[in-house]
Amino acid sequence: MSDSSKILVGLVGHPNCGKTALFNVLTGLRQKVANYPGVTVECVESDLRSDLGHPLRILDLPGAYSLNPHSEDERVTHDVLLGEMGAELRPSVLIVVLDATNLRLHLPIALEIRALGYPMCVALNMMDMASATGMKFDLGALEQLLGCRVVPTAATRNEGVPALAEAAAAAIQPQFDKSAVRWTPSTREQIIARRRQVEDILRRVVVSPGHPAQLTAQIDRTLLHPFWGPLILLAVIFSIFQAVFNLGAIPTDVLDGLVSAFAAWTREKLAAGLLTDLLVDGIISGVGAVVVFLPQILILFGCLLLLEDSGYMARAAFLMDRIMGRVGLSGRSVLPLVSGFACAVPAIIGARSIQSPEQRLATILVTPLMTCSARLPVYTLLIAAFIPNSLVAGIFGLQGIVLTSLYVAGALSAFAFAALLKSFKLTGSSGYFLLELPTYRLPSLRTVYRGLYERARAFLIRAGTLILSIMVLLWAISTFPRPPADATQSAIHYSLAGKLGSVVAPVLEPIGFNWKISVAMIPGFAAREVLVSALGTVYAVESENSEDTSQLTERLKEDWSLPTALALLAWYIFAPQCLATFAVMQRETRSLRWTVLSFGVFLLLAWVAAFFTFRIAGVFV
Amino acid sequence: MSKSLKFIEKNKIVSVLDVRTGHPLSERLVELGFVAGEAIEIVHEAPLSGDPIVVMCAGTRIALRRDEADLILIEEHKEAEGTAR
Repeated sequence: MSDSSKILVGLVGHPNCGKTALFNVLTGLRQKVANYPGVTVECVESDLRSDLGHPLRILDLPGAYSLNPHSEDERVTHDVLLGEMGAELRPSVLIVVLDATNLRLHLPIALEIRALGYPMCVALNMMDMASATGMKFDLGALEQLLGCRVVPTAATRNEGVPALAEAAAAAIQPQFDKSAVRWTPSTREQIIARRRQVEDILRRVVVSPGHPAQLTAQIDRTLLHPFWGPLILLAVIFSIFQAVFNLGAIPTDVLDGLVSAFAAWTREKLAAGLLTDLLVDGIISGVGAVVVFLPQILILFGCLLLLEDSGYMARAAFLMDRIMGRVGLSGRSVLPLVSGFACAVPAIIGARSIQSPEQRLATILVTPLMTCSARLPVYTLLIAAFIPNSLVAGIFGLQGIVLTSLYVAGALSAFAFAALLKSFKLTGSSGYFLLELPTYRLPSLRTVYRGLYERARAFLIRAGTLILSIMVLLWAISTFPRPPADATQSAIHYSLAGKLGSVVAPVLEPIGFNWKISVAMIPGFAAREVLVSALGTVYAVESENSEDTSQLTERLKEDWSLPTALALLAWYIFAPQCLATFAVMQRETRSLRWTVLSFGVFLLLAWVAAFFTFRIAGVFV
Repeated sequence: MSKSLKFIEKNKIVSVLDVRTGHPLSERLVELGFVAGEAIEIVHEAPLSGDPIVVMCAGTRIALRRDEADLILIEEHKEAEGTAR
C-alpha cells in the first residue's frame, strides 16, 4: 500500500488523453497499486516513482469530458474532486492531462478545474504526435493564460515525466483548503463561454497549427466501410477466440500437467491420512483446477486491452450500436459484453461508461449470460467425456461445434433477455449513444502489461482466498462425519455433503442430476469453476482413492447418462453460480431487487433449459 | 422551424445553429463542440441502416444515433463551398 503521509496528486483528463499511460510512467511498473473498494479498477492509486525524487502519491481518476457527469465513471471523478468520496481520497494537487493534438476539445476541462481553485499543473500530452504533424505552441503564453505550469509530455515515450513530477510538487499550496472548494453545474452559457475562451487562448498560443494527420481518416475509410467494416469486425472477434482457445491451450496444458504432477508428488511424499487428503484433494487439485485457466483469461483481456488502447473498440461500438439498440442496449455495451467472455465482474464495472442509466442497467443484467471463462473448465470436462471426437461434414470437429454452440447460446440468450427487459418496459425506453472515436494510435505495451498484471493479481488472489476456502470447506463437509464402522456404502454417503445432496436432490432429479452432482453444485454456487474440482472431490472421496483429475472423465462416463451430461451443459449456460458477480451487480445497480430478480430468473432459466434438454435427449438415447 | 442534422446527407458540410435543450445529452453535445457557427460533416454512416453516424466536428470524430443528431439544429450553406476545413 502507498504511504498515506505523502501528498495525493490527482490525474484528471478526458477518456482519450493518455492519462493512464502517463500514470504508468509516473508510478513505474513495479509499484504496488491500490484499488479502492467500492471504486475499484477505475480509480487506482500508487506512489510516484522514487527516482523522480518527490514524496507524492498519484491517483488516476476515470476519464471525464467535464465536471458535469454524464455517466457513472464521470461521476466518480466528480465525487472524488468534490470530496463526496471522503477527504482521504481527495487530491491536494491536480495534474490536468490534455491531448496536445486536440486542444480545442481538451482545454475546457482545464479551465473548469482552474475555476474550482485546485492547485494544478498541466501535462500537454501526446506532444510527440503533435510535433510530428508540425504543431507548435507558445508554452510560455499558455502558462500565463492558464496561470499554472504547462509541461509537454509524451507518456508512451516516457518523455517529460521528471519535469511533470517537478511541476506537480511545485504546485502544492500548503495553505490550500480543499474543503472550501465549491462547484455548481455549468450552464449552457458557461459551457459556450468556456469554448469561446478556448478559441481565444488557441489564437494566442498556437504558433503553427500543423497539418492534421489524415491517417485516422484513411484507416476509418476501411474499418468503417459499409461492407468491409462489419466483416473485419467479425474477423477480429474470430481471431480473438482462436487465440484464446488455440494459443491459450498450450500454457493451460502445461499448467495442468504441473498441478497434477505436484499433487501426485505431494501424495507420494506425505504419509497417507486426513491431512494429506485435504492438501491434495482439497487444496492442490481444487485451486489448481482454477489456476490453469489463467492463460486464457489473460489472452482475452490482452486482446481487449490492445483493441481498446488502439482506438478500435470505439469503432466496434459504432458498428454494433444498431444491433445493440434493437434490444435496448447501446454500442457502449459492446466492451462490457465482450469482456464478459472473460469474467462478468470487470465487465459489469466496465458498464459504468454507458451514459444512459437504463442501457447501463440492461447491460449489467445480461452480462452474466455471456460465457465467462469460469464455465470453460466445466464445458471442457463434460465435452471431453461425453461428446465423441468425430468430424462433421469431414472438417468440423463435433466437440468444437458443441463448444461454439454453447458460446453462441449464451450470447443469444443475453440478447433475448435484453429484448425481454425492453419489451416489459423495464429498461431501454430512453436509450442513446454518443461516443468520441479517438485518433488511432499504437497501443502502449506498458498499459497493456499493467492491465494484465492487475487482472492476473486479482485472479490469483481470488484463487488463493475465496476458492481455497471453498475447497477446504467442501472437503470438510464431504469427509465428516466419518462413516460408521459397519458402513455398507461409500464414505461420502454419511458425510454432511451427502446429506445436503439428498436434500437438494428432489429439485434436481427431474433434470437428470444425481445426488453427487447436487453435492458438487453446492460449492459451485460460490464460483462455477469449482464444480470441476468439486466433482473430483466427490468422486474421489466416494471411491476412497484419489487419482488425478484426468481420470474423472472416465468416472463420469461410467456414472452419467448422455442426457444428464447434456442437461448439465444446458444448466451451465444460465445458472447464476458466481457469488462475486451478484455482489458486484448489487454494488453497481444499488438495487437488491434487480440483483435478486436476475438471480431468480437465471436459476429458473437454468432449470427449465436443463429440464427440456434432459427430457428431449432422453427420447433419442 | 430549423433543420436538424438528422436527415442531412453524408459528406455535406453544414453549420451548427443551436442544440435543442431538454435531452440528457444536450449539454454534453455543446461540450463536445456543437456550438453555433461550427462547420460539421457526417463522415460515416453505419452499415445497412445508416444509423448511427460519425460526425466530424471541430477536429473531433463523434459517433451518435440519428435521434441524437436530431438535437443538433443546423443551417445549410447556400452553395457548395468545397471543404470548409
